[in-house]
Amino acid sequence: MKENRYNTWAYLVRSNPISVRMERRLSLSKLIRAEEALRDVKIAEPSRIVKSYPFELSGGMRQRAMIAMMMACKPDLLIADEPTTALDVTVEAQILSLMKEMQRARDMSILLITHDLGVIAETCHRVAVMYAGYIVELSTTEEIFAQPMHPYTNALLRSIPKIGAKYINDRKKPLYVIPGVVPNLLKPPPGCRFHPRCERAMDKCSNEVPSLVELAPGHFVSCHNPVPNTKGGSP
Amino acid sequence: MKFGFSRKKKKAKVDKAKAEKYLLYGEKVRKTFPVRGGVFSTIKGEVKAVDDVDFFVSKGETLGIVGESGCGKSTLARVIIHLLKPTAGNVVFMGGDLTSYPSRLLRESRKNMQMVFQDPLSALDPRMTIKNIVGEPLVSYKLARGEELTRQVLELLETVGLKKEHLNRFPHEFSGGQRQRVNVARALALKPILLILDEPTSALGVSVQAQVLNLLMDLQRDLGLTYIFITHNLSVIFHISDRVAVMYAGKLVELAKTEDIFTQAAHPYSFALLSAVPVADPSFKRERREIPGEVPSPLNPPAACRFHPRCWKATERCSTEEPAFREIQPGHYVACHFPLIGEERQ
Repeated sequence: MKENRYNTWAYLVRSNPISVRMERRLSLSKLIRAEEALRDVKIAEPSRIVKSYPFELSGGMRQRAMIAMMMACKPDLLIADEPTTALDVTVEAQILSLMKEMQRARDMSILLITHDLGVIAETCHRVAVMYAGYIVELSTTEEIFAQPMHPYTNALLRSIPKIGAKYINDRKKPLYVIPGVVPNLLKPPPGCRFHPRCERAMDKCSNEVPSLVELAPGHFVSCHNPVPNTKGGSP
Repeated sequence: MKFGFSRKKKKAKVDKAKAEKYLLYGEKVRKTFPVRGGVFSTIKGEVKAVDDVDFFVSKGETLGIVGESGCGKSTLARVIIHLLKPTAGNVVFMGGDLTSYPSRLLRESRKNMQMVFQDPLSALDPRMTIKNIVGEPLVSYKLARGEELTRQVLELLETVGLKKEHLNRFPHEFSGGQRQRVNVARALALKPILLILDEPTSALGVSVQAQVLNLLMDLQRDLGLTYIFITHNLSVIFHISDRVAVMYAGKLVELAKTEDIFTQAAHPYSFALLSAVPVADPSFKRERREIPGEVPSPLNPPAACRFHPRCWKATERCSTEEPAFREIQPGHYVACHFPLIGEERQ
């Protein structure tokens, strides 16, 4: 009969994830701190929202509340796994700019996991590209998008439709298709895991796993035959 | 004697000039859903999913419909193909007013318009083989049987890049991209003129999306198809559409050529939407116009212009007078009292 010890009000406060999070770490007044956390993520009327259940909130509000939860303990590192994938474009822009703002204000690091290359281009400083369990390329965002060196990154960037005045003449042109499918990780291909789908594969690729090496300053690539880069660098 | 409710037959309303010019057009198309509640499930209100939408589609073009979730894109698609009957307005396809058609004629006209749905797996019956799935429209319309059916199905599979050995497989044996190919093959079985594609690539990965988009572009070129392409992905719309319609909370707010929408959007919402799209190009710089709040509930949308509570240009007029959907430049339609012009967009 544990619940009986709480009245409804206390139950609501307690059931709210933000205050639960606070309760475990801090002895200050939970409600006020929860409200503050919500105010930090720019939720209007935090005193009302703090008492709401998740289902009463819209998608964007829920994601804001999640960020409030994470930020409540003032972390040095925030890991955001596809934070905007379920959101609409205008709300996504709001959440991303909120995250950037919090990062600046708190001097916090963010590990952002996403499949949306647009989100990466607009928010990240550095990018690690993963394929079948390996990091295949790691560099600054500008480098990755301007001069991808791993054939996979290169192919990926060519296969997405681009938007903007610059690309008006590319409209309706066929997009590049990476042949084959993502390998089954129960039986991954030997050597470089991308070699069966790679345009630049050599004999070596099918029996020797390439290691992640710094080919240009700050640009790490794991490939035996990388795409040439103006900044030079070959394995 | 017939049981059930007798429905008054709706009179066809066809504008001859428009019907000749366009393959499909809609006038004041509206679809509302009743909301029931309370003890006796009385009607408590209505959701205005699509509200007074005017549009047209010319033969051979691709019209993209964009908007955020819940703006009525999919409802509009279903109303066009008459999976849902519009509450009001006319949808004229190939010179005939679909809203006045009895089911027999509607069935006949669906030979010319088909739809591809978003989730490729749930759109396929898991207990049917690919041959039966793709051949079903032909059987249902009594167009082919026996060996002729197999031959036609095979031909369809080849058009979408599938092979003979796929004939007797089941949907679960295919990858996402292949399933979407099966869906496209089925939609093409009756040799339609118009194909409505409702988020055909949203459930697919980047590389598979490229395959399906390439396939759709090839088919359009080879078969002269007309597409209505619905998606929330603006990069895809930019790549594939000739013209774009932007929807917001059940209303069509802007309709123009793709280049015009992307370079000189006139409606504040279209502008904000485009400035919010994350672009996969770090060198791409632009003015960000962030709009506060979220899409309003269609149950109780704001009065007059539905965008006014989030709009930075809104004046009192926007909350009292509904803006008309008007042509501000040839072929560029917008529903706004204060459309953006010139350097305001910079």
